Amino acid sequence: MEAIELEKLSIVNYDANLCLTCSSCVNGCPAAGIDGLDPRKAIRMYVLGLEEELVNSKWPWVCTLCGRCAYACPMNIDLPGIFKYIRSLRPREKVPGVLHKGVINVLETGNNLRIPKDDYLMLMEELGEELANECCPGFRVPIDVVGAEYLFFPNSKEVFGEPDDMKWWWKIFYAAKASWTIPSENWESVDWGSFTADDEASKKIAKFKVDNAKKLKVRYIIAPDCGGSSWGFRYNYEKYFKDEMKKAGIELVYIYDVLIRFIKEGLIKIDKSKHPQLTTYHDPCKHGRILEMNNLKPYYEEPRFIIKQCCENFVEMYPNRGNNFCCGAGSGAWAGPYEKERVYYGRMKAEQIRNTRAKLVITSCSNCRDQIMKSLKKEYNLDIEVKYIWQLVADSLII
Amino acid sequence: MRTNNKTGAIMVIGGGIGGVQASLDLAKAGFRVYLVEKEPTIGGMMARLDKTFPTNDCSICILSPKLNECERDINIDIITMAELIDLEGEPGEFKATVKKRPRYIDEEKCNNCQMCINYCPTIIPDSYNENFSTTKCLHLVTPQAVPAIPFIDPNHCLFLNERMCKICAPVCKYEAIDLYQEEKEIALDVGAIILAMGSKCFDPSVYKNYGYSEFKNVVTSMEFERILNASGPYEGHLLRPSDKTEPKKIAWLQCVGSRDINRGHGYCSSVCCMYAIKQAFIAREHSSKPLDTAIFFMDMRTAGKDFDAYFERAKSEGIRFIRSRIHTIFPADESGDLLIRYIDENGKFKEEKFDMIVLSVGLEPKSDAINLAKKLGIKLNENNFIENTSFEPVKTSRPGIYVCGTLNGPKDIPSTVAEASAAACEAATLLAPSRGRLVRVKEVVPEKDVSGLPPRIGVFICHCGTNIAGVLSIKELVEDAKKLPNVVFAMDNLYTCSTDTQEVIKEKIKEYDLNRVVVASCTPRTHQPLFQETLREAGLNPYLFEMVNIREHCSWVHRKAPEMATEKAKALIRMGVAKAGLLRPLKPLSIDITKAALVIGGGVAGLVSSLMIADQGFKVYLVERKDRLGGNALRFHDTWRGEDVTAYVNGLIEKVNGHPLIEVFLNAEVLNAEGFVGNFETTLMVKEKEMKIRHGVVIIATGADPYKPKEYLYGEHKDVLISLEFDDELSKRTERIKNAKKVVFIQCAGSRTKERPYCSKVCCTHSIYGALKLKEINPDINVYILYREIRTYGERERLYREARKKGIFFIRYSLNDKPKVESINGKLKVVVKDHVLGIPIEIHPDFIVLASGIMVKRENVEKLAKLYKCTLDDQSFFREAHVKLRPVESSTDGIYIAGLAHYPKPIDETITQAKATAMKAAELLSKEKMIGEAAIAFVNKDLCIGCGICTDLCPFHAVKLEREGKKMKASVISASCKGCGICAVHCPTGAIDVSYFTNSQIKAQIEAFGVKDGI
Repeated sequence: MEAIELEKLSIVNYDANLCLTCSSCVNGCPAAGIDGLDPRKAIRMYVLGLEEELVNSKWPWVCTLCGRCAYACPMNIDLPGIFKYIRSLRPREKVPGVLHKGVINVLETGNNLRIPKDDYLMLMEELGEELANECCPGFRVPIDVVGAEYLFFPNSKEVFGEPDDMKWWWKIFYAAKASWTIPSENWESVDWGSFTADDEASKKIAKFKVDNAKKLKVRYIIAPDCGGSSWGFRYNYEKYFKDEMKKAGIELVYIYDVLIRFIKEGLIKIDKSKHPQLTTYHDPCKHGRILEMNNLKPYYEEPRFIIKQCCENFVEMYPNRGNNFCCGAGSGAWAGPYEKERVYYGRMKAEQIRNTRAKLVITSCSNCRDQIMKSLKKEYNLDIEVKYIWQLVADSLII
Repeated sequence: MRTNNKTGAIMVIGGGIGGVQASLDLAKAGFRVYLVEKEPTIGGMMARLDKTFPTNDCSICILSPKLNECERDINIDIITMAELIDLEGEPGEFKATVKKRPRYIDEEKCNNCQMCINYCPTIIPDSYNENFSTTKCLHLVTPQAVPAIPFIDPNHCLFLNERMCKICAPVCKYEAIDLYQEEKEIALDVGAIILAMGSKCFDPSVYKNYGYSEFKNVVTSMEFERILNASGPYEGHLLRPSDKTEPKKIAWLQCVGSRDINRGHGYCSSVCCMYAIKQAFIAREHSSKPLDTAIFFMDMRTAGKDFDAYFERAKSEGIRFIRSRIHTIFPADESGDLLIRYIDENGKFKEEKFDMIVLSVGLEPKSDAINLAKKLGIKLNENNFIENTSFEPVKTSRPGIYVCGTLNGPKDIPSTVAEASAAACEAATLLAPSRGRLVRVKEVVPEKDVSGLPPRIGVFICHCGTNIAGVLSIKELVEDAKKLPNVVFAMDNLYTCSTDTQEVIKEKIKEYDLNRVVVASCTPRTHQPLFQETLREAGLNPYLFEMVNIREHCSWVHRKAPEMATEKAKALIRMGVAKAGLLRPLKPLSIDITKAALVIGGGVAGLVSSLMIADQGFKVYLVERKDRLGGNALRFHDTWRGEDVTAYVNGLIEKVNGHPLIEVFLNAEVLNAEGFVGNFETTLMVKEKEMKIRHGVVIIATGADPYKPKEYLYGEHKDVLISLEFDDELSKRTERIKNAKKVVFIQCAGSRTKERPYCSKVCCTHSIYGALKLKEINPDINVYILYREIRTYGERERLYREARKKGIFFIRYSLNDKPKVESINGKLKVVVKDHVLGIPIEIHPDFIVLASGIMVKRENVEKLAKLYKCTLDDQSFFREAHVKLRPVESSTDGIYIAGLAHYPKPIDETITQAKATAMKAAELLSKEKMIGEAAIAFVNKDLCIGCGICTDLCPFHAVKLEREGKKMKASVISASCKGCGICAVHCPTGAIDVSYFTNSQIKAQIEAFGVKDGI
């Protein structure tokens, strides 16, 4: 083998050279071994100045930036931060799959899929009527309601392809008689800029949300359910918009905060007996671990509280909370092109789920849900049903 | 001149091995000691360990005699359940207030009959056994507890909490139970204080991914010590907690709470690598079937003396070492088994099931120690250990208060013991003018005259927990002993060495009018003095005692054949009893002591030792072979903490030269030595002139040399340097240093090889310090350190972390794939395989520094060792008397060892050892008279033919021929005789005999062995 000549070490930032090469990151990473790479090797390459090789490899995109490596790193190295930085070094035209296209779309049209405003408004109106007829008499989708309490952002994936999935939230808002609204413009919930490590785009996407909130004079912004997007927004919020929002009297809340308020204040009534089967919960990395590692309050106990209101038999998967395994689809991997790797990555999740013997898997991130429901269930023969946590609540409602 | 008002008493806080050692040293040197212990019993962490590395000695067995010695010493007051709450005054004249919590049992009245314990109805978890077993609320902490007095746990007592029960009080016929006892304050005048409060184990429950709180079979290393321990929850049977079955596979995870700035501490805890190996060894011994043991580690830090040999032995015996830090412990299934997934050193992904996992938890300071230090205004360092300097390793920031042990930074037992003696030395030096002022003299019990009385022998047989009783049938042994001639009494004890058993022995001596005592237990090497003291207290001559070793010589070695072992033990006891019947009282000689010390070696160790001995008021002769003092330290510039070594050494030299009690001989060597502890006569060759010196003790501080490598182009290429040469250039800021763009350090160049199978201990820290200096001079420089294991043990880990943070790059190589150094057209090229990426890396350094290690040239020390009858190990380092508990004493009385002559070590540890030797020397020199050996040779002049064989053979020159009338007769110099018996066995006429081992006694033993078997 040809020896690499060391000219200059490329230790710039991130204290990456603190690495003890102890391997705890490798031992905790479901993507370790893919293409012969793993987190420790990636860090080593980065430090040794083999940055280009790393940037050109697909590994940083197979890695879901889930942070399980950093969670146990004895040197507190911000591995996801470094891998995200490596992603940022990819020329934009070489960003894998459709991710960069989505970023261009959202910046130009306000949503990832270039859905025209008229189509969007028409869909909302029709779908609202449908729900009113089904079970919620008088329901309409509130658009651009100034002074509404909650501002909710639709996910273009649902608007475009799975519109019925939006009805669960609507049912809950309806049952709780909540004051809420969605914006007519720049309404995209998700933030693919955070996936492609395009900080500028990510900041702009966050600004869309902030501007909408200010314009509509709402009390709360509901952070996107999508884990990566929620973290993308939260990151920018903490860095750029916190003061501005505070001044405007707008607060950032997560879906759990909304659901718990509705339950605790008796705004909605729930029938536990509708879900008698053994149920487990998958912690999305970016609603838990990543917040915890950034010294922010992680959402570990809130989802469990909500599930226990709706289900009779709850079982934890192991490991859970901060040490949970990522589903394998985070940080753009679901939308990305590396399907085989994503499925391989998900083996740990599949094993965890199987070990619980649960029949119902609850989660609260759209990527996690899609990966488990649409991919892992089939690939690993899991005999399970998968629901969003708000879907679980909607299905348990006594209206 | 101001009169001396210093108080000749010292308070030692903390009764672990450190505090106990300091107390014993000070009491022996003429001071009063108050040993203040927070718990109801002394012994600390060491008392709870099962075995100790690297000898696998039983921990409590070697500690227990010291604990008993402490209790018996009338100059040591043990104050248990107590804390220092207030301190006023100045060094030398402190006024201390101690708060003593109620034990609820009167310590004066209680005789530990334990009747009350039987009646106590409240069962509580036994924290001494890490809550794996239960005990009574009123209980004795451990069978070997010192003091042997039970106590009532106020958190659980029904009366103290709910005013009910009170069953215990009326049961005690001594009226010792006092449930109304209150906390009290004790005022004490002390001249100095030694903090020896130790540390505690890291709580691993913050490592959520290791499931310590969830999985029963994930235990801490301290819990595992108790599991292995004979007096532990499973009586020494290796069982796992979940289902009490015997594990077949055990893993150890290293660095739990250590070297982890994420969830633990940044520092290395220094002891975990070695204790994990030890636990693996012991677990395999305890296992009935072959046990699979795997240690998961980052770097094996086996840097101490004989530690690497231990590590190598572990590997060769099949203990697996896997370099991988585990991320998560999974439950394997519902059976309690555990699963881990890891990448091995070859990059293979593995999954393994274990029955049990031990978390090698680190050490951390205790909160009460931190609080006390803060209250006393003592500075703590970044890790909350006591802040010290390399040159004053046992001094706190407050004068008059000293520190030793793990409160002073994580360390092992021998280092703690050395620090304890060093701290004692500081206190003794401060209070030297008041030595002897407050000592109490022990009342001598008049000795009973047994001459002419028929032997009445008592036999005491020890269970040693399960060490002996787990193999031998003690009941049979007792029954058999009762039938032996002259035996009037025999009994068994759970621990014959425990304090309360000493009282039992004394009672039985009285009750049965015993005049000979036989104890069948462990080795006389550690325990004979204890039992002899008991006889003395009972009014019997201590030589009317015989010890039979049924543990090392029987139960331990014949574990697998218990019945035959019991028969062997019977024979051993029979023999002991036969000898005991013939024992006669002996009177040891009382010898004057020459109050001077000879210090050999004028390096840091010798200089410090000389100063500390002289500062305590004793004469010192300091001998240096070279023409100047200072030794190796003259070639160093900074310590790892950046302290100025040169200034320090020059300061020492100045003080030594100006000290009225120190006489320095340069260009001097030891030619010959005669005599023994207390009275040596050494002949020196000083500048070609012979001279004789008389002294009572010897400090060997002869140092060591740098190894000169024969590899990596050293000596062939001008740009390949060894560390000392690099240091020199660094201090001079040579052009080469200033202009370097790339530098490579190669570690272990000559250490940990087949020829020198030990770690030089200092090189990792030293190279990293040098590398950081280079970065300081030129931040753009690239420095590569090629290493096999980074051993920046203890708080030195900070330096390693800092180096990585500053961009110094570390590449690991293995012994079978060493870096290749070539010279291409005069330019250096280094190729090494990267241990993570597995690809070769090529570096073109401006120069290479070889961490060449430390060695001793045998020819430099062989003669000295022979003259003073010390032993050298294979690597020519001086052997200590006991690796754990007597780290600075040689196997010869009165000869002490410090510094590199003992083993490679950094300057702070050298200084500590030097101060410890000074304490040992002072203990002896402060006495007026010394008690000599009583078991010595004597000559039957009627049989002696004056042939002189004995005089030639005696290694101690203790037999001489004297003219008696016309004939020559042999005569023994009692003060010199060691009782080795060489003369006796070689005497052609049987004229020489050794008392306590007479021919007739030995013959009786042999005959007793043959009685039953007809041999």
